[in-house]
Amino acid sequence: MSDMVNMKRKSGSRPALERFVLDLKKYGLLGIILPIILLIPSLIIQLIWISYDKIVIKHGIDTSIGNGRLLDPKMFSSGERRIIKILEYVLDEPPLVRGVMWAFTIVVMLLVAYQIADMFKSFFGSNSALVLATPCSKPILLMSKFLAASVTSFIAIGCSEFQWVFLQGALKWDGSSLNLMSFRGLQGFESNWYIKFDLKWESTLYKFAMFLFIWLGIFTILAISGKLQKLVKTPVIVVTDIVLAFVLAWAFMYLMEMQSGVDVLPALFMIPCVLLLTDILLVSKYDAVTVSA
Amino acid sequence: MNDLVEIKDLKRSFAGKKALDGMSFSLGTGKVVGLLGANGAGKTTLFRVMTGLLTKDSGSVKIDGIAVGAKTNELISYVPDHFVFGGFRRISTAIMYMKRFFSDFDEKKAESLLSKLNFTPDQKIAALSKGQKAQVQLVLFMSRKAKLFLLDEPLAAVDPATREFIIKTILSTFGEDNTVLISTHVVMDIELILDEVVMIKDGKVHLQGETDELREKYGKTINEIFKDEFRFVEGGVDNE
Repeated sequence: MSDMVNMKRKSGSRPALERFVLDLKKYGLLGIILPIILLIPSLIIQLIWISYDKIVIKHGIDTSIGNGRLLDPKMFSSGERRIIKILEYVLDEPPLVRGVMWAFTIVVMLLVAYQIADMFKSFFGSNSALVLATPCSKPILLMSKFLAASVTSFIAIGCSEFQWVFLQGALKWDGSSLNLMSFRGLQGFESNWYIKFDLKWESTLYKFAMFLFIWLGIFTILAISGKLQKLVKTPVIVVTDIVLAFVLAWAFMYLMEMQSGVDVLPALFMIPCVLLLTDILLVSKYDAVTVSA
Repeated sequence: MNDLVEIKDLKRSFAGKKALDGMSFSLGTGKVVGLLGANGAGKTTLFRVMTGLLTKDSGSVKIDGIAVGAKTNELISYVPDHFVFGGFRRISTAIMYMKRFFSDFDEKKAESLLSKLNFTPDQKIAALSKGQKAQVQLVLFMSRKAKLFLLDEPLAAVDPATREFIIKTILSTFGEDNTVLISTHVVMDIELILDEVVMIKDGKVHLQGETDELREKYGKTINEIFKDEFRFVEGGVDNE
């Protein structure tokens, strides 16, 4: 090999970075562009909420938490009434709001499905001969793909979460928002309005930690699959993978429903760390090709 | 000086079936070598172990003195027996991919070879025929300045014109600094370009030697030797 070629050889980290950028682009439409577009309506609503906060301050409305209070609609100007009417409409979760929420769910599901399929294709599929031919170690390659998948997933889920937060009330810097528990006028706009405030704080970190757990779980399944290849046939591995993925998804749903407190966060971050180490150890010594092997 | 390829007592089995059963051989540089064997002899498994796609059960594989890993990927250009650029939209994106991940990729050479074959960069990959795909893939991998080229059954299922092109491409890429290892059971077409052959049977090296020496020793062509050696292999012989 000539010295020139030697000098030009890329180091192990460069192909990993290239892989990260390439995957980021690949997942970008579902993981970044579409979620940001879907976030635009709720961003507009958020601006209206900010205007509403100004109205509350302007009229000196008592915003202490938990107490309902009656207000005379005549104290608001027509513009202010329009703002309040829009927010009342949004809080009723009209089809438009529900539609955007569903769209978010579909986008996130498609993204995860695409990322899993891409992962399988890259490490086990027919083009693994191309992906794994790059001068980069398997664990680093795995980390690059994982990071690209995580970044895009976090953006998609983050947008989905923020969409909900933006619709609920004017977001404060500390992550809280003054949430209107009840808003509806008792007898329409001509009568008094009953308004009840609630201060809300939701940790999106919790959801991110759960997502990290799921992702690394999927990687662990992939890594274990590689090890299993020597012992059992590919269809058995595929079926096992699918069953494990369902169990993992179920565990995710269960934990989301049952453990909504933020105190489980440290544990939730510990599990992904352990899974990540497992993945790196397993993936470094696994078989890539199952297709036509 | 180290051999370019050094394989010692290599073993790999699949669910109890031995694909490589103590294979050992070494290769120097500046050669076109034929890896000959019937279907199921272990040719593809050997290539996949050499490229790190499959792990070995035991034994050792060294490329230019380095154990198989990320560093040896810099030295090897592996042309698999199946098309791997299916996920790319156009030929230009496949070129970009190669340029991005392999610093030894010679873009000009690839473009020149593709142009000779009347391919254009904006051509859609999905619209290519099987033979055209084989040509594009070969051009892209052979446009690397690798030290070792591994070609897995490049002549299988291609028309005579494509075979001729493949052989010409191999000869144009081959030099003193590199070695081309071609696995095939279609010996006749490439016999004339082979400097050395490694015949494998049941996961082991059955016969290895310089082609001229073997021809002289057996008084037959390599194709004839191959046919004689593999005629009674269980499960049939590929007699072209």
